[in-house]
Amino acid sequence: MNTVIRVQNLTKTYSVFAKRRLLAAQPLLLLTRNVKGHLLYALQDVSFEVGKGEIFGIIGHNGSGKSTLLKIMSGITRADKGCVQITGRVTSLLELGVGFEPELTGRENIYLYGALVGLSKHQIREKEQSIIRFSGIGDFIDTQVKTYSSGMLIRLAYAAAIHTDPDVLLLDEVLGVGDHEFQHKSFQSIQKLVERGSTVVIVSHGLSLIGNFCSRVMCLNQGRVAGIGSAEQAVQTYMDIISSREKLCEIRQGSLVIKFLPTGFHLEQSGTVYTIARGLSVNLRKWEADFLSSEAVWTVKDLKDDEVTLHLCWGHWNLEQTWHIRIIDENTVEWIIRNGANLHQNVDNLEIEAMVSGVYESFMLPEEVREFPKTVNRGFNMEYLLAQQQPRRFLGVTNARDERRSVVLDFSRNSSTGSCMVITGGNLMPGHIIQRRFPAVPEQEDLCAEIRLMNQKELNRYYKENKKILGVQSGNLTLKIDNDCLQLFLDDQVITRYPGLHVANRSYSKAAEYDWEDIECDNGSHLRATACHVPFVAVWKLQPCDKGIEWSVELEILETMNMANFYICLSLDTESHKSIDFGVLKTRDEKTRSLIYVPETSALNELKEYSGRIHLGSGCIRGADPDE
Amino acid sequence: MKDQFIVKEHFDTIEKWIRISEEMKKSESIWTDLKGIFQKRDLVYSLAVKDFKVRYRNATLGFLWMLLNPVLQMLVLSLVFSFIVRIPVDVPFPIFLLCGLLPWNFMSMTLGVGASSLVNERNLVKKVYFPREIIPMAVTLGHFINFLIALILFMPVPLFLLKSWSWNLFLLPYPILLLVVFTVSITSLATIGDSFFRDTRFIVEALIMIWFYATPIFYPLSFLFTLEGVVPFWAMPFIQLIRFNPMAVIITMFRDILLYGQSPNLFESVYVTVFTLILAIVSFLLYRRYGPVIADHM
Repeated sequence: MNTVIRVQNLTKTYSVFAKRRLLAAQPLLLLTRNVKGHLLYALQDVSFEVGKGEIFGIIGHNGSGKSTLLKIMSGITRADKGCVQITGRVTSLLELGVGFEPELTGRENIYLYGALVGLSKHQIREKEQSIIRFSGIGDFIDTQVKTYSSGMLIRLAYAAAIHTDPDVLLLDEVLGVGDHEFQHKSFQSIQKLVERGSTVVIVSHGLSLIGNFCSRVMCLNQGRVAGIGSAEQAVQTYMDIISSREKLCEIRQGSLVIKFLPTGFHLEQSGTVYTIARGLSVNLRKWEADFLSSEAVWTVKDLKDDEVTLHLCWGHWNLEQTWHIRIIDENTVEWIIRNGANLHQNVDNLEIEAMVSGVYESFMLPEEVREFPKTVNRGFNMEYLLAQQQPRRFLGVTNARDERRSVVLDFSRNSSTGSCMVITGGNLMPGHIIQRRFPAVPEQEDLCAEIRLMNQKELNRYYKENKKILGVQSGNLTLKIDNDCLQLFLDDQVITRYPGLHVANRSYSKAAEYDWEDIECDNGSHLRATACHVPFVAVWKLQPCDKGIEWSVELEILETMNMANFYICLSLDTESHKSIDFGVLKTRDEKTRSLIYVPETSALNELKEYSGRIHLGSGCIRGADPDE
Repeated sequence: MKDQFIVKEHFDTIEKWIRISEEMKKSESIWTDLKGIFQKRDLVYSLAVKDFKVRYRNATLGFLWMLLNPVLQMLVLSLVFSFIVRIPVDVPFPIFLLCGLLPWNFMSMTLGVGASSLVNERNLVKKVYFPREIIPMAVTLGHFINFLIALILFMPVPLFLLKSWSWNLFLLPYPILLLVVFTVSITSLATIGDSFFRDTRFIVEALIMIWFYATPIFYPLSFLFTLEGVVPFWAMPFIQLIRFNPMAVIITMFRDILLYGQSPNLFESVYVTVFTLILAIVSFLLYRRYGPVIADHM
């Protein structure tokens, strides 16, 4: 490893006076070097090395010395002991917009900033155009900076800093500013810098950012190095530090330990921690605002060895909740959430969340195994994420890289319907959130979740028991999800071929590559089809009726689209279409052997620019009368 | 075996410490410091230009104020000292006055503004690394541009009116250089003092006020000797001290060259040169000592 930054035994102290002494005495004190206040160790014996082309992260809670370290590394202040060796030119960005003079124009400020970080006029002139282009300021570059919006200023400042071609770039909480587009751009710019051989040191509270970006991460605790290692190790160290500071109580049975922090509770079995960050927690939602259990005031009501009752109170909002948690056996935990009197009136819905460790690569539903969505590095597709409402009764987590068991959340004991969601591969940190949303129903007394830790064999058995068919059956016809598409079965013989019954759009060549979800309802089956590359979601309502299956389909259009391009298609196998009556058949395509239904409502055809929810069509599939 | 290991570890640590202290020494040679300042000379210029632009951009008369101010000051002082209080000088009083006023204004304004400059730029100092000397240097440069423009506009007046032209005029850069070095040094000292001890700026203000009268601006240095017997006996030693005021010497040098076409007094020039150099070295050493930790005191 080609070491670029070498920090050895760095120690920095600050004198903190209990009371500010007489100002006039200060110079005298300085001269006599008799300053003896309370010594505060901002940094103590910190050593680390960073190699060329690395992205090195530094995390730690407030006051752990992160910023002091960066200040010493950039030369702004000096350490009391130890040394810092950095090869190459250092640019530090401890705050955006530093050195920007509001009275000057954007262009003048670029030159000023360039001079500040040590570029010659000639060098700045070369980069001027690319800075302006990157910042996206355009013609405003020649107006005074005081007229800029804060977003523009930040963009310009960031652009100027990133274009100084530093060998070493030190960033303090400045990454991830601006809108999504600019964030994406700035992440890319950092990666580009690193590819060119620069070294980047990032200090951040955003654990996801650290987790997704950094090759190595150092965790600081009270001025000391608590650990250096991979992002996940360091984040775990960080969480451990926080939890050791704030642990509320813990219950245990055998190898299973449940620790309660003022954020949520954590599962630990035989020394392996299964949950990270907020762990298992509850969010209350009202008017799009979240009240997190981490923000509540917690009191331990009743504590036994394997059982605990906790009282949560969001005092300001007069909301209350009681959690009763009991360890049933070493692998099963029962979690009963009782809502207080005011809660149902004041809350729209509540979400029970489990944030599981990042070593899990996929999660399991009764029907199949799926990958966790990787969102951050692939660019943001919020529509897709939001559309991922998994209406499952329970969720498991599987494919851990180490020997740990899978975490299964079972909500089957609750009568109410609701949807589950799996979010991100690192919105907060390298972990995955499994979330189940419940409507706040006044008559519903309490919610119960069972948390199971299962090994592969138990998991398979569990899923076999709970597996259910997604689809409906009527007479000799069955319409169900098979091989990722909605297939039609006649007397248990499949008569459709890929992609079965589907909604297609002429603008998108790939019609169906669906992610099917079941929305529970009383009769029939409601299925949601989400495809990651098309900006619409199809909601199929299937219902058995007299000798056939009634279907109707609604579309949720996520982007503005031309509605005239949509059609519904049933792709049939060989000759079997003769034995099927699609009901509202409009076209029969002999070449592809498909029955195509084009919604011909004139209103629909005129909807060139449409987004939102719309009914696309409905009909009934019957077995055709052989006489006709 | 274990003991051996511990001993070895100790040796390693000691070795490491020796290495570290050597490295620290190496990285902090005077030469590196000077090179650092020289490398950032663009920054001095940029900051000075920034100050300049910011100061005059929104004013309607713009940088005309730069010239108007000393002219107004000259008019007022001329009125007072040639009609109300008469001070005998051998050249037209306004010319005499302006010749002293321009260097004085440069020094006093730089010092007055500069004393608090480091603290005022604390956002910069706390967040970006650059040699801290740059800030007082930039303030000096900004005012120096003012001074130079005013001086160039003023110079033809005595040369034509008093016909004071002589080859000695080529000595003029020397007092200018002395004045600049003196101003930078004293401003740097004030900034250091101010960042540790915020009363400095007020002390500096008071000092400038007293200093104005202790500098032969509206009177010639020779005027002081006419005061003997007029002022109380105990005041005389203080008045004698004015002769050692470096600004008095520098202004007298300006007058000798510009108004009288003479070469400056050699003894006085040597004195002020030595004085300025010592001041410069002291301020540079103080910056070396305290510059790196100044950000902690902002």
